Amino acid sequence: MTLVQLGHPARARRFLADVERARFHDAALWQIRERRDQRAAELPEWEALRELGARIKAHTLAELPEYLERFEQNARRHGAHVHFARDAAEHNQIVFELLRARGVTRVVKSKSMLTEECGLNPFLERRGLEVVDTDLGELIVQLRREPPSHIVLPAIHLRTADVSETFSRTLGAPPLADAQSLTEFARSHLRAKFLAAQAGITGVNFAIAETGGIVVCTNEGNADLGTALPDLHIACMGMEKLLPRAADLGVFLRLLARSATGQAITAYTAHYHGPRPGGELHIVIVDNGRSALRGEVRHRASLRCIRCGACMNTCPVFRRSGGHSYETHVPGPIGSILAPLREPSAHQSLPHACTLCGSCTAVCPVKINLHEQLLELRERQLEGPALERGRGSLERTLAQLLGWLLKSPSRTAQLGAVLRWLCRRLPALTRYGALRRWTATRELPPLPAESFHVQYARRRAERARSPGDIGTRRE
Amino acid sequence: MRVALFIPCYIDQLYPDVGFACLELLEAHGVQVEVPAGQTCCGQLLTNRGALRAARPLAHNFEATFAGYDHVICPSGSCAAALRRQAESWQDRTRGASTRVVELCQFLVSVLGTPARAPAFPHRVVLHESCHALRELGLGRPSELGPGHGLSESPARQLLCGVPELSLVEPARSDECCGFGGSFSIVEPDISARMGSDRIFDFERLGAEVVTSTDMSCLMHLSGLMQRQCRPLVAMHISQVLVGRTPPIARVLPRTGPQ
Amino acid sequence: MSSRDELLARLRAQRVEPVPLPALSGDWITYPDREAQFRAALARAAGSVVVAPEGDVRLAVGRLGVVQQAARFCSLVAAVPGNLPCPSEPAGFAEVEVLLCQAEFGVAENGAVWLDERVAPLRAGLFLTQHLVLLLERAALVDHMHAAYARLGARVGQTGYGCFLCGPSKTADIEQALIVGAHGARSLVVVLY
Repeated sequence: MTLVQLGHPARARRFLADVERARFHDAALWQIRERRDQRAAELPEWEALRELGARIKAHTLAELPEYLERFEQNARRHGAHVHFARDAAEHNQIVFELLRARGVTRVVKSKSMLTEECGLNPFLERRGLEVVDTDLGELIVQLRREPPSHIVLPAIHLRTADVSETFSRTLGAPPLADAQSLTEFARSHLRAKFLAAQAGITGVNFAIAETGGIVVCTNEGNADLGTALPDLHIACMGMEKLLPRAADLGVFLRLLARSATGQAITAYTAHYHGPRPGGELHIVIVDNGRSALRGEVRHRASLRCIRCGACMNTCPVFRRSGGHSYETHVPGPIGSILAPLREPSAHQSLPHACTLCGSCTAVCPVKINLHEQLLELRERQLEGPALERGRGSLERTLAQLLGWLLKSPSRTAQLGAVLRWLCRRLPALTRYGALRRWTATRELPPLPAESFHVQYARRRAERARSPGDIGTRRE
Repeated sequence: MRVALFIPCYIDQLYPDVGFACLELLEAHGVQVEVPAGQTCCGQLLTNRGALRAARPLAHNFEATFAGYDHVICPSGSCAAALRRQAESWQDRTRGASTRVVELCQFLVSVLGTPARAPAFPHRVVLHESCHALRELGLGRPSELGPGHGLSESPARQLLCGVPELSLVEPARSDECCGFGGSFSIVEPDISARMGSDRIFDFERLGAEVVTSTDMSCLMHLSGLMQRQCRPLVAMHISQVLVGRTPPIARVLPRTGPQ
Repeated sequence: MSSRDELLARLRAQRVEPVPLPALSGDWITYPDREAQFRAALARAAGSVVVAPEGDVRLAVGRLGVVQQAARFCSLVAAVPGNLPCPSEPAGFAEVEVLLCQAEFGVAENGAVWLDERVAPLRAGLFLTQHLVLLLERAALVDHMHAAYARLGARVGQTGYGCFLCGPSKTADIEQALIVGAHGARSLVVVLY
């Protein structure tokens, strides 16, 4: 991840400085949001599906230990091996050991936010393995040595020219000007990798407790290619990916692609039960903070997340700041909850990278109350457990002071009158400090000589002397 | 029926005419409204930053000031939502007046039922549906929801549709956030300005002359941008539109002199 | 204690209010003309549909442009021979231009078809082939995904590999330009009979 934490506002400023790119980013993601709207509108039962999705996930999280055991039992029955990792380090070690023991040096990997979270690629690369990301967007950012900026559209922050430059510089590609030829180039580059691979690592979209199977959804077919050719398939999953029954997939497969990309379904929805004949399947189930999150009553719902990215596509802030501004592997609204919960001191700006507009909550296919949780994280920063408090006691003190001032009508009136007077007399003041952040781009609001309450009181007094409606008299 | 008018602090301090337009509007509907003198702020300035404890005295003051009224009318979706949220989180002691808060347009449409005939407003108007009114208070149909949600058009929209000679235009992005977000406007000033500018651009493309909303806070932010950028678009609170105020003049010539 | 036991113990020690598992019933959409819906949905996914005249799949397949131009056409369907025997190793399918396979049923809602290992024992072929042609019985169309899983029943857990396949492989990862034919098949034709 990024080494230097600048915070969201500073990074957002940089992102917006490239006006054309920022405009493209916003328009592209808005278009995906619109396509999601169209897919949702096609199904009169859309809101009922969201409700079902939320309840199935909530139920599964409540009964998680039972479902984990059931899944493990059934997966083993099919000949899969099931491993449990308490954290990212253990996950990486398990995966590495599986590869090392079989003398694997060439690995292909399809998209898995979990492996991003655990930092698997650098871990394996430092130990001499070649890990090729096969999702085109992931491949591009891998070649650029930067993190993905969106969990579904990893390269959405890049233009065609950037991709062309990357392919030329890192793969020796000829200068290619359009997406078609760049994709064609990647196709043959990756085909060679698929055919030479000794192991395929995938993520898991859904794991079915009842059958012991795992489901992987892609549009490119890269997960399928990566598991159909090498003999070793390692599937990495967060433990919250479980579903109770195969039939539950009916709900989630109707919700996932529609929410993520505005497609009715992805091109490939692969169901794996056990290894290929002559092959091996290893499923690595990871905690890495999820059990702690399950223990947080007010944030447990965020474990329902199916990593569709709809919240990112709709978020007006995400669209205008880009995933890299969040400085965490899963960005956007859901990431702004997960990251501060995992590392409060490192991500203090994230709960504030939000206007509380609520659009994210309204699109979430599993009805996570995203914006409410972001507000709760702000409360936590000020009034939560001491270890997690950020923003210092200065803000708490100022808040107390403001609360004391504003509870009294006379103090409010005095404060308001003084501030208005100051801004009228000394407009230069408004170009400094916090006010500067307003006046840099906006005119100040009007600064009337008298407040409503002062005028109202005077009119009432006047009316007591002569009748007539107070409201109809104009200043 | 005892009805009180809650005047949001920024309307009190910065936009007093909006308060008077609300009174005029209610009086035109035959509603006798009281404006209790002891009122102050809804506290969202503090609660939206997470300073719940600091905002508590404000909640107590609100309850004390507005006890005994059947309806507390609030000409701001965000203040109404903040007061309702406060009611939910402090059920034990302060349940009461905050649960009887109703946004201005919602009062006219749902409580009164038959809105009075508004004066003509011969202008092209775009309604900016505030996020709090729309998604928190459920006043309107958020574009995110699929069919079958059972929600009706926002009361603000319904009222505007009844205004003679008013031409209502629809933005391409029907309900995207304007970017004010309270402290967001200064904590994330670049994004805030970009969001507002994009909204203004959307409105202008439609040839809108006036942007209106239930929320003066959104309009304060948009207006600040419009004036700085010298756009031919002005902002008016919905109460001002509904009582037929003349739109302010847009300052379209670029400013000379120091910014 | 192993990580597994540690994790399960930690989860069990947590107090989580029970949430009942909802029944999967609902007023799901049904299509008066499933075939028309299927065709439209598949077209949106960059796939295409062809109807075999009088159910003559051999004729219909033979008329397809991709088949006529293919030097290496393999068939997994006994009734319709290709011009090349199917490879016996997964990697062998990299040379195949057109692969013909039987789909078990289709889903009108989204244009996807279900196939599994029984029809494609060497699953690699489905992704390595340049072009994919699938046969589908017109009567084997269900309305939506709930019906699909009901139809599959327990079988979904009894096959090592099963897949809902919808259209050819695609990506929009470069500036959101939709490119058909990412790493898998460049085209997909469903022949209805």
